[in-house]
Amino acid sequence: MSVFDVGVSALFAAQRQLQVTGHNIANVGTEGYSRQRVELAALSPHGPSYASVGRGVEVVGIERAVDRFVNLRLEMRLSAEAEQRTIAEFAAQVNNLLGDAESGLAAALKQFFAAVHDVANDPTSTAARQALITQGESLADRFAQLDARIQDQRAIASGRIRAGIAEVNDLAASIAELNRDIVDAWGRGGTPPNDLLDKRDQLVRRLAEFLPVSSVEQSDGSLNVYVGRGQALVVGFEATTLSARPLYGDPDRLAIGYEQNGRFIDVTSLLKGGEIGALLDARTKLLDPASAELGRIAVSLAETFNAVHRANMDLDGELGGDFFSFLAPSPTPAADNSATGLPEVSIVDVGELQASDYELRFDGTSFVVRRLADGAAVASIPAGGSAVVDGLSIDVSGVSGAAIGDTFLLRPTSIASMLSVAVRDPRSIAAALPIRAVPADGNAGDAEIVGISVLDPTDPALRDAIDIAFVNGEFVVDGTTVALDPSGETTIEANGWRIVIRGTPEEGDVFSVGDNAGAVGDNRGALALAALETARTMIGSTASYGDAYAGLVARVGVETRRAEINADVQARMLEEAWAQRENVSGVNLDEEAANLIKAQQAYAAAAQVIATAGQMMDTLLGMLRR
Amino acid sequence: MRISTAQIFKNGLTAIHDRQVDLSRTQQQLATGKRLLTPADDPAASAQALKLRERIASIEQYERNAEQAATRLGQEEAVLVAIGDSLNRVRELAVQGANATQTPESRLAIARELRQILVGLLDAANSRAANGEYLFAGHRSANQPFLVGPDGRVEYAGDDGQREIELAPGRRVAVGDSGSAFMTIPRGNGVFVVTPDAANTGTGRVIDAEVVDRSQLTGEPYTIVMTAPDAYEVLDGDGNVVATGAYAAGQSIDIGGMRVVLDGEPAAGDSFRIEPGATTSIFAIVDELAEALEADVSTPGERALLTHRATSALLDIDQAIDRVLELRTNVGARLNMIDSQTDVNADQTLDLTGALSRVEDLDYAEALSRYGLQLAALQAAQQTYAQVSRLSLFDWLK
Repeated sequence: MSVFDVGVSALFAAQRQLQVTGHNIANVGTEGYSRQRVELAALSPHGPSYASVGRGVEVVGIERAVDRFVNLRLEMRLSAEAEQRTIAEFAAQVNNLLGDAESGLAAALKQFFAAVHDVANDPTSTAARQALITQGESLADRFAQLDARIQDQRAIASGRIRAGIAEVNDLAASIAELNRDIVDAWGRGGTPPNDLLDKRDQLVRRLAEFLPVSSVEQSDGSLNVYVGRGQALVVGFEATTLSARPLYGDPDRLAIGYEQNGRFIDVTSLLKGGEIGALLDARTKLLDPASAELGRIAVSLAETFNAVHRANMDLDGELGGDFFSFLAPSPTPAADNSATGLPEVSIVDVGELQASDYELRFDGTSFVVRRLADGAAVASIPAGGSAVVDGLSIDVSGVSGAAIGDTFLLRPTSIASMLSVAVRDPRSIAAALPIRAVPADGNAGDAEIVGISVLDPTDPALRDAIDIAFVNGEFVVDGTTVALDPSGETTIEANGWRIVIRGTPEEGDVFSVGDNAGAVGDNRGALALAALETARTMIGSTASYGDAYAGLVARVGVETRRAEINADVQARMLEEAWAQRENVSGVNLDEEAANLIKAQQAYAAAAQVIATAGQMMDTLLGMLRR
Repeated sequence: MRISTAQIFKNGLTAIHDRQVDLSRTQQQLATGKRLLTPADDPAASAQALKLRERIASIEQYERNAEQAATRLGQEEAVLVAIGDSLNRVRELAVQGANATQTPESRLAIARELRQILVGLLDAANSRAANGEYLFAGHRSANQPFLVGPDGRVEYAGDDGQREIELAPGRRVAVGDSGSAFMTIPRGNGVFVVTPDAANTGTGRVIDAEVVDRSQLTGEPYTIVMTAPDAYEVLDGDGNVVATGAYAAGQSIDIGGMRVVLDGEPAAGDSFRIEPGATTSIFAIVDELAEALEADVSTPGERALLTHRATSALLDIDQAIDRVLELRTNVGARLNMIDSQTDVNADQTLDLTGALSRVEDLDYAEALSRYGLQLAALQAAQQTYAQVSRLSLFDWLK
């Protein structure tokens, strides 16, 4: 073995080092590039020898500086950060929308009830009545605007889901293709194709932003990729193509899955985390609940306000009609249902309503009602039957031919965008009570009427003239007797009204109840309407409309705060994960400069070895010449 | 530990970016003067701020209500003052008219003035509020409440309704009184009235009528009939004799807790009706007084009737004046209530605005010092970035 050969091997090694250092320097700005290093090994001497000298140096490979676990952590962080950032974006949008003092619902509610007060203050004023209609319309508009902005966000979310799915499909196809290239290159050269591996790692990282990724490297160098909770995306050289399709005819209610033998396999429930998981969550956990809560406030307002308004009397002496009108969306069947007919849904108790949509699923014998807000199964209605759930009456007797798995979507509170004012004529605003009650002139007792209210405006005898007489120590009205209440306040109900009499009447005293037509200056009905502003009519008699809205704002605020903090935390953790990856795999120019000097010097030294060998040869040849 | 060149640049940029975000936030706070920029900044405080703003707006509404109520009550009070003045003038005229020195002509002149006052009273009772509503019509405020009927009597077409306006949650004030207050003036002493029969021929007159024992009041009408110039009997509502006695001028006759004192010389067959719970209207009082003054006074019986009608009118007028005073007192009490509620509202508004400011407004001193600090931090980040990024080993390779 000659010194020449040793020198040449050193020269080659130094040259390769210079090349790799140059490659590193060239890729200092390349995203996903992992710095490379030349692996050297000393060439051992041929055969055993007591004073053997090695044969120089050998380049055994070019290694990527990669830590598999650091990369795995980075992928996890990428998914988590993208998820929290996306949720925070949507939460902030809803938060700003609802929380704004000017554009939120609180101000519109306040103005509407101020207009009700103004009618109570001056019930004969057409201007005040017209203002109430106008304020009612702007309140309805406000509901619609808020809901429309939430629907906009839903559309944005579904648009991003579709775009995300397209990108995921592209990435999956590219990874599958790279798998083929890598297996080929590795098989041919026997050494890992570093730059292709970097490229594939980079694609996996891009994928991780959309969905959490787990990957398993196969012995041939290919990578199997699973997303979400174990949905296979790339296996060997094959990639699954995901697609999004709308549910219940709602373009923004998407199910994600893939086609297999002509059937759509829904894997939405497996896709948690990452940007796509966050977008799916944004709709189900943030936007739909906010929309349903707005709708619940709207439906509660409309129902309770209408109920009082119907029990009042307008300027023309007629009983009031509905002040607000709305149309709840009818139940929507799933596209592949075999059932015909639709369930019927109506509101029976406003106070029990939940801010949620519902899904009915047929299990073979009955329809299971699932509340979508919390996923709870709240009732099971046998086919052909009906049930009252959360203040809703659900009747499935109109549904026939249902097959197992048939579903219907119910959106009983989604009326925020459908509220409108039914009253057109200011005179039709009902601000008075339809009945009056007066003690007769000759009454000897000190009893007086302290309360009068309408319980059932549909009672045909409501406005009939009728006397309450005090006979034999009891009140007699229409043949029925009511004992004098020992508390001093006796409540008498008949013909759909309720009257409270305080004090002790004398025998023969009479109280006359009758039609209040013509009492245009009566504002008791308007006062009853105004009292609804603070009445706890919602959520099991615990909240007024304003309370329910404030609750929504607070919930979204808390949610946003949490999402923003999480997004911040995840951003820091992602930065840390990037830093770790960079620490292992990133290029440091100073280090490369040092490597450059080192390789340069090694090259010079190797050249010197060859020169020395040449001089040695010259010396030897010169000696021979002599 | 090694660090990559890309990481050095990224760290420097991230530091600058973070400082800029902080600075922009503080700048926004300074520009708006608000500590809370969105509800997420402090969800609890935001919910509180929402509630506070709602309550402040409520109080503003209640202030509007109070103004409306005060205006209406002010209008009512002005009308009541005018009616009270008229009634006082009627009282003077009743005293004058009863005076024996009056001639038929002067009595007619007084009657004429009374009739003018009656027109004025009717106008006053039919007063309208600024919005055209009748003030004293109860709930039937679109129709004129006091109308002269075919018999010349004033009739009330309104009802007993009383409008209420809300001053605070659950606190309501009546902003008017029904016109029936003018129609239900208790007659005489407020419990019962004694009227001589128009056909009486003697000079017997009622000089006193009072309640001596409230517990014995039956609410039944009675009639005192003179069976002879010196004897009487008392009949109840069904015509049954319930008492008899000898008559002497100035002697009291007690029946059912009521005491009647007659004077003069009643003739046999003369009668006096005792009516409990009788009421009249302010219009009828004036009308009847004018009628009495317009009537002929030539016989002693007629003379006695005039005297009686003038004195009983005086009693009724006093009841009417009392009623108007009572109404004015009520109006005053309601205005006081509105005033005190307005004070409470003003205090509350001040408290709530203060609380709102504490919850959502910016502490400028703190924010400005924070702004300075963040500015310095940004400059430091920029300088270190510029310096660190200049360092490279390649600079030394020659």
